[in-house]
Amino acid sequence: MDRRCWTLLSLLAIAMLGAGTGITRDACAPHGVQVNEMRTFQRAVGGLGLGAIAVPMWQFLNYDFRIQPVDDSVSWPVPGGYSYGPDRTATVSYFQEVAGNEWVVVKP
Amino acid sequence: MQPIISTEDLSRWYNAGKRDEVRAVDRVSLRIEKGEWAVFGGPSGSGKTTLLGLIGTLDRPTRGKVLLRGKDVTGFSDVELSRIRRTEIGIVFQDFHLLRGIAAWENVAYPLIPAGIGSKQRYARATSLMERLDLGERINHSPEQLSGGEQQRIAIARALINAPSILIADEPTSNIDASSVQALLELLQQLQREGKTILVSSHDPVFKDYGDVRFCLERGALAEVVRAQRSP
Amino acid sequence: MKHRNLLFAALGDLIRHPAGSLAVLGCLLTVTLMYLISMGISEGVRFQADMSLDEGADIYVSSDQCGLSGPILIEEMLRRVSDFDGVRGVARVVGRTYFAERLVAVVGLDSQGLQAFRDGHRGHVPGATVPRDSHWGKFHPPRALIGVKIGATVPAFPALKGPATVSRPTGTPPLPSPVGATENSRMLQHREPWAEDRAVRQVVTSTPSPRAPLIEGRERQTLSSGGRGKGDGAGEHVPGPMDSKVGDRRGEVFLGRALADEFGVKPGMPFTLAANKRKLFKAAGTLSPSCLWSSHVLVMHLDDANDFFRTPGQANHALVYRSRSNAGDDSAGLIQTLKADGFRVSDRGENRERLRRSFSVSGGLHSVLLVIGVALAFPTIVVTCGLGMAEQRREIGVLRATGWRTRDVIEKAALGNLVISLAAASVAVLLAELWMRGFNGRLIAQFFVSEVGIVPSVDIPFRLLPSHALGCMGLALVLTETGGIISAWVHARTLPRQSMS
Repeated sequence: MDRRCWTLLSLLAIAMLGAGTGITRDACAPHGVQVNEMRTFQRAVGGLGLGAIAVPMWQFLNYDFRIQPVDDSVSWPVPGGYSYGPDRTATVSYFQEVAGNEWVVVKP
Repeated sequence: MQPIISTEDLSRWYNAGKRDEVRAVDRVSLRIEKGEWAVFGGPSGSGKTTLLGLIGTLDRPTRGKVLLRGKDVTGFSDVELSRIRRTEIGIVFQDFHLLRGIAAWENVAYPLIPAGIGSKQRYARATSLMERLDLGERINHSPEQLSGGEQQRIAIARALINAPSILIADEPTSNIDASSVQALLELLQQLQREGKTILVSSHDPVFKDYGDVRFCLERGALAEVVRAQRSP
Repeated sequence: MKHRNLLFAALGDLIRHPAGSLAVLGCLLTVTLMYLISMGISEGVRFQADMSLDEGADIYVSSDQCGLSGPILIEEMLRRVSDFDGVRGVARVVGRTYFAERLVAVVGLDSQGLQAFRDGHRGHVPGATVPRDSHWGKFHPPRALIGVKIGATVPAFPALKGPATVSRPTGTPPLPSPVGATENSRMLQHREPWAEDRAVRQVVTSTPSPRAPLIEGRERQTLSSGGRGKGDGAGEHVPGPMDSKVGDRRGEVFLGRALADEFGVKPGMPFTLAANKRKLFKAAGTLSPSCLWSSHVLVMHLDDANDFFRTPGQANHALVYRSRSNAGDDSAGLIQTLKADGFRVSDRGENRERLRRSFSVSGGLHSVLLVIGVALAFPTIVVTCGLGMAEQRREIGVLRATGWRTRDVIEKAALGNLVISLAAASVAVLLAELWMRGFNGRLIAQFFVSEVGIVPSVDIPFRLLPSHALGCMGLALVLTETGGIISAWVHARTLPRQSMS
């Protein structure tokens, strides 16, 4: 049993080593982020895209709140008053609306 | 002289106070001297296994006391009871309860694991004991590959690995063939000669001629105590 | 030695019960893999979003139109911006339309912006490593940002990626070779009743021929000359300072790789879009799929975008760039003035803060983790807790009967769970890397990044950090220990005789 335990431990060590290598590699050179090409694109377009969505489906808010900072899909009311924006669900980003022009109420 | 084991008014009731109350052990008081071989007889369901479980600290009584070397262990903590089972008492179960998938020697040496004994030393101790029990050729076999008698001897070896002073065997002949029974009896005799106190529960008449004291149980209560005459 | 013994006993248990161990490992892998992929994608998207903020404009200005961002008048806004020191404005149009049946973002840039695309794709991007100020001079953002030498000869579509062959989209009937333009066109229209609405598809599926008349009655020659067709309704072009040197890029469109691949668009291929069929475009090249937001995008000249959207002289934003070498810029004054006049103004700091909150656990990841937690973790706990319970209970009873203490039993269970958690976390990291690197997140990426499809045509942003691995390990431990230790503790606390019965 001891030999099998050592084998299991060795496999575990190899898996951990592999995982560590992968993470180190990711930290140094993240996949899908060929930085130069990305930087060129972003510089040329003046910054496009912020959210986890590839196209501005339904509204621009989740795609890039600099383009449209509000959820304009409220024009599609759903019973219950919920603002239906499918692209705002199940992605890893969620851009909330923030007040653009704050009101300052001054008591007389 | 202080007995090594004694019980006072020992009872184990299930569903106490309810309509379906079962008195598995009912007000049993007994005493067993050091080095004695005690046989617990009686029909099935008479409470033999429950009584041995109480004496072996595997169970807690509903009432009464179990005294080991004069100390009442019924109030002992879980840790203290574990220590007693590790150092004082070795138990052989009716179904052996060997761990599947590991070698016979590992089964024997399993109780040594929490004691912090290294693998090599465990192996040495287990194999030495197994050779003594005529299991030298079965060291690396898994329990599934062994006969009933061999499995029982593995279970005995496991019970003896910590060199306890008390050996409890519950229905040791129920799962082995006739030829193994004789070997078992000789082994128990030998262990008794080495100074171990042996408690055996069995309704097998073969034990009629063995043992120093015989406790007959009936419906959980002690019906008869027969003490054999010791040879001078 | 005792702990080592218990560890080996725990390992032995895992080996002794291979089915149970594999079942628990499988359940853990399901949960941890989802967790890692979601965290990795989140980190990857955030990385790209940060870069989008860093490389984007310093200030974004748009009008306020009934509560929404509205267009600005280009000329007026740029003039207003130019009144302030140390800042420079650039107009940009961003909209959306359909390329065949694919939704795309349309970006209209001035000539320098388009030039930047051409040169940036040559491979060497000086702007990526050289500080911005060293290229800027008098604030000519798009061109200066990528360090283009003004007036340099740029080879036509130098390293732009285009398909080697023209591919036909799925479901499209086979097309004949371009024998003759008229014939080809007639056949297309005859075969495809949806031709009017699917102009793009018609064009991209036919092999371009120098003499082939295109749909909507335009000819390729018209585009190749760089001019614009009659009646294009061109909007007013606001020339940038370098326009005359860079050359007119109107009519040219850079396409996202996903579109180019899907519809087999080659550089030089002309097409129109259903939203404004009068406007004719020419594919100038495809964009690298490295950036998430460059996959489904059409980048064109500002004037072309204005033509297309029929918004002459207007833009969605004025992108305002600050001079970083000039500490005394008057951007604060500009922001104040524009806000006072009712414009919507957001600067980089504000956007960064908003972005920071949007990737937090209370933001988008919340829903992801909730799905993982509820849908997957609970069954896992049940499995880890309940798998082989009778066997485990009996064995614990035997151990207790042979002198094992409760804490020994729990330590063994905990060590076993630790090993299996370590294994699950490590294998999950490897699988996540393999899935995301090797298969670009096929099947799974769509759950975390919208609109990328089952087989993503853009590189899915993915980046694992040590904290993710630790989190994964923690998650696995919580799941296993919750199930394993509790059940081990319960069984160990039970009297041995009851456990074994």
